[in-house]
Amino acid sequence: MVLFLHLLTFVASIAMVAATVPVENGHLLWSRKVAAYDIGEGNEIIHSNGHFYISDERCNVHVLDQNDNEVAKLDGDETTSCSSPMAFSLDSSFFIQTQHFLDSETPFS
Amino acid sequence: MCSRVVAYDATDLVQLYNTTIPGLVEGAPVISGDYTFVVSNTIMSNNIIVAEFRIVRNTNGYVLFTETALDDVAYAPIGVSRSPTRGNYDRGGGNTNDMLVWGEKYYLNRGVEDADGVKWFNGKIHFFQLPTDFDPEANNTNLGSRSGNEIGKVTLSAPLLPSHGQGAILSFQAGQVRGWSKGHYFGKSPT
Repeated sequence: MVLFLHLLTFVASIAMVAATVPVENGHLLWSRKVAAYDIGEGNEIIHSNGHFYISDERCNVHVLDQNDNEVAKLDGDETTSCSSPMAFSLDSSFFIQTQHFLDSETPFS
Repeated sequence: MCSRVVAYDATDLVQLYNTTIPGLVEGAPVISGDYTFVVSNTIMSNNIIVAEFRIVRNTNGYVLFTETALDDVAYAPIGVSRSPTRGNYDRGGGNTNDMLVWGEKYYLNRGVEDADGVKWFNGKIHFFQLPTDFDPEANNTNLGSRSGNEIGKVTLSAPLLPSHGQGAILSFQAGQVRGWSKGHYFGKSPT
């Protein structure tokens, strides 16, 4: 019985906290399908210059603003793959993307 | 496989340079002022790996320095400490250029299994700092990375360096984490 009362008090306190938390907190801000290709391991999302920079596995770069509008896009290449994080300069003026591709002239893989 | 290191203006996405690097670039390059540092691994036809460290000039994408590892190793991604208090190695005093540290990756030919079936590899860590008097137009014959002692461990990740640059923490295989504490130079085994 004592345990039940403790449990009841705990649940009530949780309900109280939940009721007083502003509804904005914890709610989904936005959701958007950005790329036709996977945004996989290594494709970290970078927030810089007030925008989100997202590279997918085919090296397309998608730039979104805070309201999920795609403000710019760089077209990648079907023959390349990108699986490393982009690197931004400290002043955020430029960034580097690492692309991998098969080189038919190289006698080894 | 080959890699391209492609730089874009972050505002208008105009391509600034496009530099081809043999092999696979490991992790994200490290941009440090006018230069970008890149490590890569090339698997040769005889399964020997050629690990290389390069310095790319950000003004034009020109590779101004290439260093090939002396041993048959594979490099792991680079970690960086920005503007450290000094270089964390003998005669590194007074050098506050960004401190780069990277480990070695495991790869099949170099792995050895111990009695418990745990694969290990006697890897090193490598570190680099641009000299205080670095001149990209000069010959720079004394430029080069340094290596620590064999530490019997390999990693897949870039190390985490504190802001003062006087240490590093690396994750290794078999769930191990090892670190260099302040006052312990990178040229020596971790505590």
